[in-house]
Amino acid sequence: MAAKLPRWAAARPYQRRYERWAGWAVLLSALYGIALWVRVPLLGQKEFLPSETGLYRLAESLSMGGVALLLATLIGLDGWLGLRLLNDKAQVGRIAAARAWAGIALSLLYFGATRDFGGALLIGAHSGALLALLSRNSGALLAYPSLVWLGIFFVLPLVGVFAASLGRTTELGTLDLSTPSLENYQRLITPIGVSGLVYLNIIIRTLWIAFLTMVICLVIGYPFAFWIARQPERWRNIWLLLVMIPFWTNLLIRTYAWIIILRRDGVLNSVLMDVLGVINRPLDLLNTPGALLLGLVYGYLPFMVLPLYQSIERLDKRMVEAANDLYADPVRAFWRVVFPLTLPGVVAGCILVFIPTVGSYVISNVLGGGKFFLIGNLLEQQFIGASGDKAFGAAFGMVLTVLMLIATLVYFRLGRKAALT
Amino acid sequence: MLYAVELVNLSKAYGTFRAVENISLQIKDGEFFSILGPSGCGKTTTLRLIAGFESPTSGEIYLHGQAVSETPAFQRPINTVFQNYALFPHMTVAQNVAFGLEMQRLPRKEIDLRVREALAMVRMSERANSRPAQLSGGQQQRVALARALVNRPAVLLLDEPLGALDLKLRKAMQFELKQIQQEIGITFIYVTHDQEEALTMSDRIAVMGHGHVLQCATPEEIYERPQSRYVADFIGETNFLEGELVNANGVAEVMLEPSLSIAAAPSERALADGARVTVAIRPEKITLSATNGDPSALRGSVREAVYIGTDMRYVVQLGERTQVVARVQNLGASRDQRFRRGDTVYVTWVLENARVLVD
Amino acid sequence: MTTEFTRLTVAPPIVAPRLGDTLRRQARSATRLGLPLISLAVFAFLYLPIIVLVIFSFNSGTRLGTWEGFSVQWYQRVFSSREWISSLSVTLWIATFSALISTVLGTLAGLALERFRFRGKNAYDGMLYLPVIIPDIVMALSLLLFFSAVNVSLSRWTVLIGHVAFNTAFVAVIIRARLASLDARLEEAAADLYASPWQAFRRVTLPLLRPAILAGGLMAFTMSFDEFVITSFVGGQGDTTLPVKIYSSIRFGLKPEITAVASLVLLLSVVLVVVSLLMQRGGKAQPVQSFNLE
Repeated sequence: MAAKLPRWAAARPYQRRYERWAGWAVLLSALYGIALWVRVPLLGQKEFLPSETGLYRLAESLSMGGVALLLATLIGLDGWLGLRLLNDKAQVGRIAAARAWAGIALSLLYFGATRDFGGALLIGAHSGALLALLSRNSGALLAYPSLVWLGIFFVLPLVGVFAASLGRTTELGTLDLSTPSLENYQRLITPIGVSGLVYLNIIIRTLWIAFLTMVICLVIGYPFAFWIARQPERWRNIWLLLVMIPFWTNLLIRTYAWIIILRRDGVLNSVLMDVLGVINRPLDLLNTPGALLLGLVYGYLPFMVLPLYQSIERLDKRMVEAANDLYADPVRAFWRVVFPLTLPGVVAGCILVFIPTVGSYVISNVLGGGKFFLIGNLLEQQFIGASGDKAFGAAFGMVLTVLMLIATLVYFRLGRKAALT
Repeated sequence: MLYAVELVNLSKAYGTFRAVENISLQIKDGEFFSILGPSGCGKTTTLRLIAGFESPTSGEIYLHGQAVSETPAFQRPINTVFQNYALFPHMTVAQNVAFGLEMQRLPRKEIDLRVREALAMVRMSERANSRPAQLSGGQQQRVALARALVNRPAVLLLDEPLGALDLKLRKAMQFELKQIQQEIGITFIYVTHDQEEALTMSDRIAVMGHGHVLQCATPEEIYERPQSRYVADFIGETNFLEGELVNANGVAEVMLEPSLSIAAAPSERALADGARVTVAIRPEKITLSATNGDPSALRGSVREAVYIGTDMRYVVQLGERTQVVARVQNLGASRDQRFRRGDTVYVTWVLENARVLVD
Repeated sequence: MTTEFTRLTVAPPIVAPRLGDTLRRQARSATRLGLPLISLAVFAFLYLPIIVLVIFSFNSGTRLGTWEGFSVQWYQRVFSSREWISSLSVTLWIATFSALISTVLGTLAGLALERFRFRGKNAYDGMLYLPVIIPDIVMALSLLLFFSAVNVSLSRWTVLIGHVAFNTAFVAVIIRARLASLDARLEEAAADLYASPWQAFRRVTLPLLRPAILAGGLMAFTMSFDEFVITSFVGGQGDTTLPVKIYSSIRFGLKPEITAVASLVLLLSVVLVVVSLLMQRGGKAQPVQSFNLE
């Protein structure tokens, strides 16, 4: 006797679910079109932001009757397509795909004409979703929302930074992209009067401080992570939690706590003077390079410890035994076997400390008193407040991004070399 | 005489758990010595104690007469082939093999020479520059062997080295290991839970259970004359027949049921009449015949007959509730030469093959 | 087989203690003692400032570094200040919605990456990692430039958009880690028992994933609650969040009530983090996995 398919399986061929959803999506857009038709031609509302483009003028010149006709055509097309997708067995995939691409093109045109970002995003995202559905791939469908969000609000702005870095800041503080040039990048390496290569110095100083922070974190963090990894399991989790808490809590507040300690009338000076009597005049601890470095190490140490811990904990204990078995004493077993095998953690920790340090500006503002100008401080100056030069700031931001990408590439190269297991 | 390895009253406890209890063993130079037992019996702990990864709670380990239990692992002239090999993943095959020699600060030239020799010995010369991850299980096994042997240790410890390999490869490696051992004459201490592996490869076997050495003897001795029910049960298939000792002097007579008594070899231990004992008989030592030729034969009937290729395996009912398993070599091709279910058979065995065990 | 090898075989003697061995042994005992000491010092380093901060939030005097007696006046002042309360409500609004949106997006992204194949997956994967690699200040300035380019005025909505962008990446990492530790055969087993992909997800994957989803949501909430850089770049005039307000208070005159606000923010973050980490642990996913760049 042949196995019988469940009734629902026979009734609704499962493979067609994407088309059904696509059908609903297209119908939804038709419904939205109807709402728009009611609002614009019937009630006479046209709420576009004025724009200089010819397209805008074209849209303006359309009579209400024209708009109504155009919208009605689109509604009709979408309605027809949606119903076909829902019910029809015939292949309308190509037509639907064409409809999706047209929607994306329309959203760009619409944005060009009206500068209505929200509306354009709605049209474009809807059409993109239609495309994702038509790909009949669940993975693409699941990836789609985050793809749109990150693509538009993360990748696109990054590309925008590059574009802005080629432009010029006008006296009004707006960007002028009409004559792209590398002027801003040239400024980075142009000496300024007696101060010399100010900007290049900032970059080098930032990298140097980030490097120092990284090394100090590694030197402190490795034995610390090693110790945690060797604790009994119960305790290990508690210690780990204690490392995780600073990792996730507000860096600004944690840094602020140091002000209370390091101020002229702060806790440390009080203790040294009144309790211990080691000094008789308060020390100037705040706004020194030491305070800056301290703050950076304090802020980013957990970033070093966690990946280190992970790779140390993962280390196979038998590797150490095998090294001992082969006549390596503990010191040499560490350098020849343990350290190389935990190298992925070392590299990951270094990168995780290096990247935010290079981009940091809060710590140098709070603990360095703004005296130690890092890349981040310069960027803040260009973008927050009225006096900044956005185009130049964008160029500086590009430099920072490229530095980070290089660091990451180094990481992946080293990581792959280290993780050849 | 100086033994290669001598364990004297060795114990190891983890908290309240006694992994190894009061073990004493003497392992001779050049011997292939196996420690056999189920998982958790303390065999791996014993090996780790010898290697120096653990220090004993009490007792002493002698290496060629020298006490070493205070010597750290990296100063003992002992090398280990680890379970799952523990090859260093960040080094090539050649670097792995050279590691021990480098740690002993040998001159580079000698290291290179010996690494090449060792790799040639395990037929891995071609893969000298591969990483362990690129090798198959069998190849990793050979590298692990070369990495240990290149140091020319006094003793080589092997911790279930073939456990991760498939059956066919395991057979081939068993042969190869034995051959290498005979060729270079190093003492091998081989830990395994596979009784067949231990029987075929070893000069002597120590069977362990619950942290104790239960019997230490040649494979033949272990198989033919197990000292305890545990050993007999662990190695091979055995019929255990429990009963009351009727006649303790001379040929042992054991009453299994009121109407069923069997004969067994005289007990090695002095036992009184009426003691509860177990008689152990290997299935292949039992002879079945259709006719009653021997007056001491027991009459029974075949309850089950299973064809297993080389042998026939019968379950024979004796008396009310006693069943024995018998294995009869499958000599004839015709079905008529075999017994069938329900057939009446006469069961006999050579007296020495039925052994009286107390525990 | 080499016969040479056989000939050379002589059992070597026990390696005699070398000259450096005594020194090494001393070094070893130093590590045995040194490691706990270093670790203790690191814990002190990590926590002393926080403890000092909390203690001084109960100081009755106005001078920051000198203890003048116990009082809760700074807390009273914070709770009666309309400014602090309104920035708290803005912060909570942003954190809640960014956590909700990024949890949904991040969970879908994690599922897509861990369980499906599609075109451009590698590029997509790389894009999801970018927010981890790109410094927050670059993200902040790029969003600022972008919003002004597309005529979107800065408000709590722009902050929300920015927070979701970086939170999604973190949530996706947590979800992926959990999914990777889940046996994909469970879903196959569900399919074998007549469950459609949706049913299999709903009845098998989702319940197993729930701790990670909750933990991811809490993480996103915490990060959003604490976020300063992006918020200060793309925040609107009226919509000041707590971290931004704390920062400007620090820079322009140190009001002692900051200690009270900071302690409260810390307390909330610690509670959220601990709950979230415990949840992830319950789901057996190592919390640390969130930081693995691989």
